[in-house]
Formats: sequence, C-alpha cells, structure tokens
Amino acid sequence: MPCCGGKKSGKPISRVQYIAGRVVFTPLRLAVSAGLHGAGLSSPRIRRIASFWDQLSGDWARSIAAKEGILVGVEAADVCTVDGAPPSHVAVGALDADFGSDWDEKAWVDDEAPPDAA
Amino acid sequence: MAEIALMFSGGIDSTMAACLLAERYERVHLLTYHNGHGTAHMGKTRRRVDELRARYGNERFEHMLTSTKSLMETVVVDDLVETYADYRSGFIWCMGCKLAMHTRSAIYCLENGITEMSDGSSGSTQEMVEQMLVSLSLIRTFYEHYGISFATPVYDIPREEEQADLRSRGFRMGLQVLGRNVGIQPSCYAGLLYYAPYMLFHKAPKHDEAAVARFIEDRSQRAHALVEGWFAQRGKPVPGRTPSGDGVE
Repeated sequence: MPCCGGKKSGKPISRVQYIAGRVVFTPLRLAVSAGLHGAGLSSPRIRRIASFWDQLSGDWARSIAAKEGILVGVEAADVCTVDGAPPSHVAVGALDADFGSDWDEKAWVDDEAPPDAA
Repeated sequence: MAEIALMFSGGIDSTMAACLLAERYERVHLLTYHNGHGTAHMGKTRRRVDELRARYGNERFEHMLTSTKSLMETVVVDDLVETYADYRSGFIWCMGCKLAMHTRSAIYCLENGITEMSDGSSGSTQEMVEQMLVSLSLIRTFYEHYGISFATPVYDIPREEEQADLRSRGFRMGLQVLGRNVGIQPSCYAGLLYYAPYMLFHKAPKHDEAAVARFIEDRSQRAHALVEGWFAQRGKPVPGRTPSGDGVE
C-alpha cells in the first residue's frame, strides 16, 4: 500500500459536505496563518513555522479547489429522484415492466419525459 | 524486576496498553510529552494516571511528563521550510514530533536501565503517519541501536474491543464522537490541522511509505546525535555502548 490512507480516505462526500468543508477550511487556514505571523514577530523560529504553514496550507487549498483525491457528489448521483434522471448504471429491467415494452431507456437517461404509459 | 516504558497520552490506545502491560510487568514507566508547539490540556493525562494507579496500585506506575520542544526543534523545526520543499507534505511535522518523543524515550530508558519500550500504536488509526507499519519498523530499528526492544501491544486490537474493555474496567471514556473518544487526552492542534483535509474531505493524507522511510532514516541520524549529546553534556558515555559509540557492548 503506497499511501496508508485510513478508513475514510477516498470515500465520496456530497456537494454539501464539500462546500461546508471549504467554508470551515478557508477561514481556519487564514486564521492560523495570521496567528503564526503575529507570533512570529517576536520569534524567528515561529516565523519559520508560519512560512511552512503558508506553503503547506496553500498546497492543500489548491488541491482541494481542484478536488484532487476528493470524490464529490458521487452519493448524490446515486439518489434517484422522481423528476431527475437515474444514473446510467441503474438496472432498467423493472422500469421496462412498469412502462411497457416500448420504453426507451435512452430517453430516460437523457432526462426526457418518460413515454406515456397510457 | 520486570520493567517497561510506555509512551502515554491517556487516550484509548495507550490506556489499554498500560492495562495490558500492568498485568505482565511489575513496573510500567508512563512517558508523556508536550512538544511546546500547540499541545494543551496535559492535565488530562495525569487524571488517567490516577485512574490506573487506583486500579493497579501506586507502585505499579512511574509517570514522567516532560517537554520535547528543543529535541523537536533540532529534529525538524530548525530547517522546516527546506524540509517541506523536499517532501511537499506536512507529515514531516508529525513524524518529526514523534521522533523527538522516541529520542527522549530512548534517553529515559538508557538513564533508568530499561530495555523494553512500547507505545499505543493502533491499526485502527493507520492513517496517522507515525502508526504506519513502515514507521514502526524503523522506530524499532532506532531503539535497537541502544539495545532496547520496541513493542506495540495493542496494534491488532480493534478500537471497539478496546473501548468495551476499558469501559468494563471502569475507566472514563469521555464523549464518543464519530467513533472517537473526545476529552480524555491532551490536544495537539498541529496534528488536528494536518488531518483537517482528511476529516473534512476524506482526502488521503500525503505520506507515502518511501518518503516516510527516507525521512525517518535521515532524521534518525539527528536523533542519535541528540542522544549522544545528552549524555556528553552530562559527562557520561551512552549507557550500554562503548565510549567510542561504535556498538552495543
């Protein structure tokens, strides 16, 4: 295993979780930076830590914005709503039975109105 | 008398380890550290030590709480920016901190004639860089340099099993949040920050085995120099080693 990961690593998060995460992360990153730079006024060693934090958290911010190693919205796509299109991997056999033999799978996948069962 | 040292925070893993060791050893030396860079609430560890003593007897546990600030600064902080440019990951902070703790533990063991060292590393928290198998393997090598064996007595015990066991023994369990027990051990704010992307976004921490191994092997040299320097400052050779420092006697 090249990277140890952990139980949650690589598991999908919803868009809401992603946005909430950024709402927490961005101010946290800036607050820590401000605190370290403030404390660094009297200590060269803390200035070094502040510089380290700026580089580290900057790299994180860029990779989080690019969603590197973050799976966003996968869970949401797995939820089939009444008005929305189901994901393409959903088995359509049962739906075929509901809507009759002339059911056009592609039409449903493309989010068009299903054929009128009547 | 059979004695062993244990790196001890008072959390679930190290408390479980302390219980298991107390049942096998006559004396367990609990070693607690603060690194001077964002660790707080050290009193929680003292409360846990009191609980252990109440259960197993005062004489069973020796407790030392001390700072690893200067050791950590030599191991990683003094050239932090250059090291980050090399590794491009924050694991250097956590691993450097841990290596400083192991350095101080090796010194403690040598000063007190203890030949067995342990910690509460757990497979349940393998996302933590210092608890990766590669890290533990290299830490074991570090201690072997001084004729000290290193063990991880609770590594294979599932977290749920530890929680149930400690609860049945009557230990405080704190507030359970998302499978973790909160409020029973000191806080490390730098550690929390390092794992923030993992906790917020399930983003895997960036510490691949090759980089971690390279870092530990490199910084172990500094750690060995710190041990030598510790005893040299006190006008003594490193116990158990020849004065030239070229091998265990």
